[in-house]
Amino acid sequence: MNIKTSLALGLFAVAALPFAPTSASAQNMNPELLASNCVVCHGPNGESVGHIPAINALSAKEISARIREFRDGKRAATIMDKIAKGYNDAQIDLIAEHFGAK
Amino acid sequence: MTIKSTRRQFLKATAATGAAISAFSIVGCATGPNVVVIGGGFGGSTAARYVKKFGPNMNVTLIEPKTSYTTCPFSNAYLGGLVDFKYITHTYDGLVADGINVVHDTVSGVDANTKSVTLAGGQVLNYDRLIVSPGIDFKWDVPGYTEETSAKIPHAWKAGDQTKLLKSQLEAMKDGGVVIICPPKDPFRCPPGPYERASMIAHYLKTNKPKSKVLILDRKDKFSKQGLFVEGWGKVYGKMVEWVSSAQGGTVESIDAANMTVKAEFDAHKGAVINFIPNQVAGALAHSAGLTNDKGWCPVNLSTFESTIIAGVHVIGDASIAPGMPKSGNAANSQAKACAWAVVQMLNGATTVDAPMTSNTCWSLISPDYGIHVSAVWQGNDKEFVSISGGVSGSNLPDATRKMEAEFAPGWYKNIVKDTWNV
Repeated sequence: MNIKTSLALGLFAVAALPFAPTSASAQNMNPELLASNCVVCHGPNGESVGHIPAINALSAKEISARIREFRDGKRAATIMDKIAKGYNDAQIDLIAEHFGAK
Repeated sequence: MTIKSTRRQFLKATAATGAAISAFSIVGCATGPNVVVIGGGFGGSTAARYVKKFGPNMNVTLIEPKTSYTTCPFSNAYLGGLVDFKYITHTYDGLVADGINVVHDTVSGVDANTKSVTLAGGQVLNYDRLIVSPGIDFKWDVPGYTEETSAKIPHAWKAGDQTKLLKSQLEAMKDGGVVIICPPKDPFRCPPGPYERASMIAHYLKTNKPKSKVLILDRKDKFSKQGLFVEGWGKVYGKMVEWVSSAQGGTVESIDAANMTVKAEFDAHKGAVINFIPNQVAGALAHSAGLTNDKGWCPVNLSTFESTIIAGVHVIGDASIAPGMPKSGNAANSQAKACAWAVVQMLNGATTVDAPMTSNTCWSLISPDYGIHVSAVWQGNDKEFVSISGGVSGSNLPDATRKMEAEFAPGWYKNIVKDTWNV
């Protein structure tokens, strides 16, 4: 699934919520909610203060690639190698699009 | 939601609480439902901010007696002398800037029938949905340890004056004394907390009173990040930190405050400073509002955090029962977001909300240059939060990695504080 498709699906799910019961994947495909768990370490909008890397200056493509590398054991990490394994490709793309430099 | 139903809700609210509404000058945001949040810690403050974020039309009121909040996270670093008290204390100015009505008062009653909250000051606030994040309270179930005793033997497990008291006792004690820490039984707030506390106190003693010792008398046989703590204590503090498990006789039977003695199963131990952490239940408000089960915690629907006892009232953070998740500031922050999302969807007409993904990351400091972590991502279902990824720092990692993790800890703290209180 490419970023555009997954983002569109995510937005569709959000828009649909006020009018109908949520679909099975709506909550876990909502970009803002997915990203909300990242900000406790990487800072609101990815603008981290302190020693944890800020992510707001990276492009969506770079973030997406980096999380996949962590997940797949291709990039050394202290902690992101574990956290990344909790997310599927579509979710990673939504998170990347949310934080990526516009 | 239609405009009609919105107006109806507002008129209903105004009729019942005209005085309260005008007192809080909800000008410009009077078009949406009323969400009231009780408790201004990690859970409540995050919930208030994220209800507003996910539903900008919502009238959000946060009720918290204190005008500033001192966090338990990094209170151990304060005890260790790494940060000052100001570093761990935050105002509510950032929430006000977000358009949240912050009311500093105590809740005297919650009425689920009229959907209203009465404050000690006499005000009545109507809600369409109520979110409570009342934290913990203590059981006082060990003979000799009462609220009065805590003025001499601090628990320091709700940060504030108790934390200052413990620090002043550490500063006043003579070199060569024993600092006794008594961690509680499960479940309790911040599972690695007592052991990080032992580490930070050991750091202070090693630096200032090197003949002293930390003795941990535990009511348990295992604890969070145990292997990493034990490895770190050995490397950094040698024999300065000693842990006695319940099986080894660590279980406290009584406290003798007059003689500064802890009577454990096999022996009595005299402490220059004693930090007794009582067993815990949900915060007092959860009990008075009737939200607790027979064990003293709050059962909730794991998709929405709505109480399974009282409809329309959501419980998050330490007080709630979220099987699989620890009771921690980060867990409360994560639950608050899932709850805020559910509350906004429900107020916008959704009839079901699916179970959330939540997460928690926690660094503990063994020394200023030695950090370790535990982290997890969970997928909720109707019974529990299932860990889908996570783990702890590796054992025997290079010093440089431990140092990097020690630097991540304050990084996490600053960012989660910003996310929670907007300060």
